[in-house]
Amino acid sequence: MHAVPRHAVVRRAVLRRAPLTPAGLSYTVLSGPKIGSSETEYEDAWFVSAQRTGPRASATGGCTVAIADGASESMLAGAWADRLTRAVGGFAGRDLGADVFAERVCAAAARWPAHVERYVRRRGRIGRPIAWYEESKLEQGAYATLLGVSFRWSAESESELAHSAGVLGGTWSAAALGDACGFHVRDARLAEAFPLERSADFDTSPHLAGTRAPDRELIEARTVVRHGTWSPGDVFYLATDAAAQWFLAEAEDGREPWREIDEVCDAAAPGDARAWLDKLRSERVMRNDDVTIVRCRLDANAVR
Amino acid sequence: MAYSVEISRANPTCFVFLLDQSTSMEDPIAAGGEGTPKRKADAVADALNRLLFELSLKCAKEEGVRDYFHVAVLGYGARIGSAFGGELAGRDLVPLSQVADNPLRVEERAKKVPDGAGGLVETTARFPVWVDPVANGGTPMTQALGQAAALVERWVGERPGSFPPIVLNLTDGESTDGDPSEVAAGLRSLATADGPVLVFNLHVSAGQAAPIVFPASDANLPDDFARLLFGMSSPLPPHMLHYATTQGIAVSEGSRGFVFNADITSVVQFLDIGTRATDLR
Repeated sequence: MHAVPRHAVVRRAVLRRAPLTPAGLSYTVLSGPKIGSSETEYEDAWFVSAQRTGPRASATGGCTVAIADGASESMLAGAWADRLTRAVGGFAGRDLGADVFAERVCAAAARWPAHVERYVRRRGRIGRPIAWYEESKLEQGAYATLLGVSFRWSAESESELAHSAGVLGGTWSAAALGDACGFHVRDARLAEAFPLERSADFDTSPHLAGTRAPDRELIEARTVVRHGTWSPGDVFYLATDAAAQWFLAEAEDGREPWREIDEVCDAAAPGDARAWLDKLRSERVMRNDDVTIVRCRLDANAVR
Repeated sequence: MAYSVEISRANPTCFVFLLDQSTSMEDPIAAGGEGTPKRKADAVADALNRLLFELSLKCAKEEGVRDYFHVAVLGYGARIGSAFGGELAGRDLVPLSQVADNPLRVEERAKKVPDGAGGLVETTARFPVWVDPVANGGTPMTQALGQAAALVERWVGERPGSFPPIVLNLTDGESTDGDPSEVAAGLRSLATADGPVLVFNLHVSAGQAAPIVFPASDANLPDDFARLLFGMSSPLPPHMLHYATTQGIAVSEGSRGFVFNADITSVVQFLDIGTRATDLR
């Protein structure tokens, strides 16, 4: 797995293709805390898996991108969001379904108490033992929304969906719990939005992945799954709720929000991203919340 | 749209609690079950401590409790004034982090938790106490509401862009200094740019055990005190009605912030400070 820092306002990275995966994905992450919060209080998370290589890799490989948004009312929400993105990013290109998605959430939740115990011990060691309100709050658990998207590249041996659709790119699959959204843009057109499709669908009580005795069947039932094909040149934008709601509202008004994101992602100075977010928030077209946008550009398949 | 401003550390709102500490609070509340009935004074002190507990918990993060709220607790009985004790004695509006860090004491209370095998096991939890029960003197509710209005007026003057302040009165309704309705109406007429001040009431009564939660009319209320407090209470804003509905609380258009012999801590959960943390159940 390729671990990436999650605290930068804007980071660019190109995911290099492994030898067996001639296709490629390049991604740019735009992220920042809400106004009034420090960088350390940013509670979103994102993760991009390395493409699978080695004996167990498929002929074509793949990549999984995950984002999560820690619920602001819970403690250690950022750490939980980070763990969730790593758990889902571990799919590394394999198809995402509600069953495996729920399984990963539950497995991460099973490991959570040990994390909390270490946190409590560390607080004691540094002379800041847990206060009464932290004790009660930690018992309530941590919560986050979660979205994962896996990309696969087509080859003769697989991707029937891509072949039947006659595309040169490949297939994608997505699983989402809550209101972190994915947007598939093709030929300057919003081809698909998931799991939410309207800006009016957002509120402060999205479905969440929680640490406290998660109900696997319920998570599975509430997980929204999408599948599709992608073509070279397609772009996917993964966004946590404030940015996703803004994106949908702009699209509903006939604008092309992806162009604005592209301009910011391609700008020379990282500070441009912060200025852009601040402007949208001050104009009240974007809610003041942590923002994470991962732009994924899918390159041509050289094999075919 | 009113009541839509985000409550944040940069733009907090205030909570003013009014606590009836008059002699009539010595009386027991109506009890539906067995055992010794609880005194009204115990009921309102418990309710207030639980409200402050829930408010602190809601805003607790790794670095401490965030100051999304500033809190005042005014007691009224033999005297009117801050009911805070200890480090907070005599203070009116206090940032929530200081409230959370300065209870009078933290008690160990028994509680039952799931044992993982379908049963329950008894354990202890820390429970902070900010106010002890008091029952002494008359019930100067009108004056107390007037003092609350002064605090709120100062707040909306200093923070005109904040979520509107909330005033929560915990009482048996037996005002001894006149009809408080007019002062309450004056309080409700104060506003920030985001809407009028919200006035809520918890009524503890000896008259009837059956609880009533957020009624939309006074038709089924048991007595004049209840009707008086209902009339003083603000309608719940639409987003609070929506949230209450999602939590299975029976509310309807016109439901007011009035609770009779029942738990009112749910109002804390009606307030938005960000993505809620709730179980997938």
